[in-house]
Amino acid sequence: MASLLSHVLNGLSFGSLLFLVASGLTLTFGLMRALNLAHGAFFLLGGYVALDLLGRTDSYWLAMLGAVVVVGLLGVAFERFLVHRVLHRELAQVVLTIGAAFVIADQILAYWGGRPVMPPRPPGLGGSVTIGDLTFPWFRLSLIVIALVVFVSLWLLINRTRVGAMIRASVDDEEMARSVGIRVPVLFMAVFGAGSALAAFAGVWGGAFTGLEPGGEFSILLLALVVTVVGGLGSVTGAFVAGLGVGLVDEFGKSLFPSFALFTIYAPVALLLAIRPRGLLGRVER
Amino acid sequence: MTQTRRKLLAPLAGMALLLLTACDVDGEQDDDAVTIGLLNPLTGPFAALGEDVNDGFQLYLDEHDGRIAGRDIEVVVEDEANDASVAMEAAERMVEVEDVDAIVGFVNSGVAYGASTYIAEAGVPLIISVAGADDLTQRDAVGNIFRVSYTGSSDAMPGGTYACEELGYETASVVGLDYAFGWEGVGGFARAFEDAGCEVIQETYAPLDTADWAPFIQELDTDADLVWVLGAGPDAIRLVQAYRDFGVDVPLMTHGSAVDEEILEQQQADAEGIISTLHYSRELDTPENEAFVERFEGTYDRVVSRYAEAGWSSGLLLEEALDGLDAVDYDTLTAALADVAIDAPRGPISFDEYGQAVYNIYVREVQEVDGDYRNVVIDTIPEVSQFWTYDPDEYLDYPPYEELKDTWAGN
Repeated sequence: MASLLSHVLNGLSFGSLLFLVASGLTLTFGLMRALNLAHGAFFLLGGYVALDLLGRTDSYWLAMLGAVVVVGLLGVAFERFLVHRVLHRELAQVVLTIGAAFVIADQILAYWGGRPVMPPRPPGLGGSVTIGDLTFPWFRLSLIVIALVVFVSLWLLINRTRVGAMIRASVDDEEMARSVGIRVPVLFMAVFGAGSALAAFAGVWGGAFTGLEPGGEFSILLLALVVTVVGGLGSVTGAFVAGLGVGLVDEFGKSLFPSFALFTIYAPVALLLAIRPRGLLGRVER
Repeated sequence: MTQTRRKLLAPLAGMALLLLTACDVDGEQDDDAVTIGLLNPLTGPFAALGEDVNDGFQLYLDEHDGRIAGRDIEVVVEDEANDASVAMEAAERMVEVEDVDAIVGFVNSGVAYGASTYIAEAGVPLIISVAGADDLTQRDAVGNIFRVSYTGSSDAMPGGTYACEELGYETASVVGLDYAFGWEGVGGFARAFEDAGCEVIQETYAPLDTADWAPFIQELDTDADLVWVLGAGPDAIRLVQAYRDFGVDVPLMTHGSAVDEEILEQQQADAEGIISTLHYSRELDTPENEAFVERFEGTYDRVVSRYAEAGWSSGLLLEEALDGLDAVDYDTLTAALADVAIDAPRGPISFDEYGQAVYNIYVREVQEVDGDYRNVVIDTIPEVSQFWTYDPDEYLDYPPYEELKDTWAGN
């Protein structure tokens, strides 16, 4: 029983991490139809900047805030000067953002070196809790809470605020939105900045989970894409459900069939896409 | 006017002649110079390892003002980018354009295998700095390929014997990465452990770059006396962290690569108490090692690694081989390398008839030393062959470890 509970909890916590990693990607894709393949690089950059700031300031939360702001601003500039030019051309977006990922990763290699680093966990979240037979790390439990908070905030922002309504209007009908006075380019810039900031936020939490190293940007991107695709492109609720679902499937898959560990994440994806190509909660493309 | 010009021209021509001759003299000195190609990954996932090898080698040269064995050493550096085709092209360029006398390189086994065909054909002596690619010094040994680092199983087998005979563990659960190095390392440990009379009761493999090790850790058989794991790089950090997080109450032993110096720096207290076997430790208290550690860490401001030691030792090996050679060509240098014996930071190194380094294996335990976690040497197994205590011919007749995967537990 303790073992089953431990598996469920761990599946949920890894799933929460998956959602955090995918949330920024889902946001930019869902709200402005921009596919950002440099997402993993932003994640990595967030983790490294936070670690660097932690060394300078000795304050974990200040370092986290700094990383989120720096990478968020970088995202804004990236959108304004580059992504904006290829907004409705998917192939050009792919080439541009993949290229940016390589550039960022090489800068990280040059500046912080290629040795893997394991950033510390947030203060107060080290150690494990033991209840009877069950031992479970606090940090992993806290990930579930963090993911829930991020999900609820995003959902409220998009569905219950004026800004959310303006963004949705801009995606659905850009010309009409412009004609009623919504400054679409500014909104898109902000959305892209928010997506990048979320990537950095995930980089700080995820970095303490998986460690950071140049080259990790594409494994992170792959996980983010899996969740985004399963959830349905652009649906935040879908990404949340998909993150937790994929986390649980991966956990039980690896425990029960360790020899197929490489496929436990991808097999359900392939299966789902065969049955329901638009993902769990994706809208049908017009 | 014409006269003066002629007067001026004569000495000018003379000077030109002199300069030409001077060039010739330089040219003759150049014939004495030796060119070494460093062919390691400087970008991609193994960039840090390649940089360590190159820095270790360069540091050795710098310590000797760029001259070893009475010869100027020129260094040509190329990035193999963790890609076999890039590596092959670079090796070709080094041999045919740069005219190198030897190559030091390769981290990834696949890249080493890919480039080895060309290198065997060209005949240029190669010192493999990191890559495991066992068969290059076993079934496919070619004479001009040497390896200063370990084969997949060589540093694991002594661990198996030691765990059973010296540490008294009777049963073990083994965990490895699911690719060649993992199968060879786990296989090497399991073979030696079982041949010493002990038993492997569980065998697990996880993919390279496993983001979450918890599912594997949660399924470990805690009735085992010992858990032995093989991990490297970030996987080793995550694995050991999950092991501690989930409070597994079984002694943990590893292949030395799971607690490499630069990994240990990140694992810190999580790694305390881990016993491992490897051919190097930063904590060796020989004068050779102390000098090396001091110079490397003083120059580059980061902790030494076995990769840096491999680079430094390659310089030492080349010096010993070049010493006393009249003419340097592929054949003479290869023959000289085959016979060298040096005292490296790790201890004595020589090559067996397959080109694999024979060296000491150290049993190390992670302990806190002056506030840092270090691999403290608790035992030394001298001059270990890549075949451990097995007969080379019999060993090579066994099925390869790849085929023995998933057969160790429950026999």
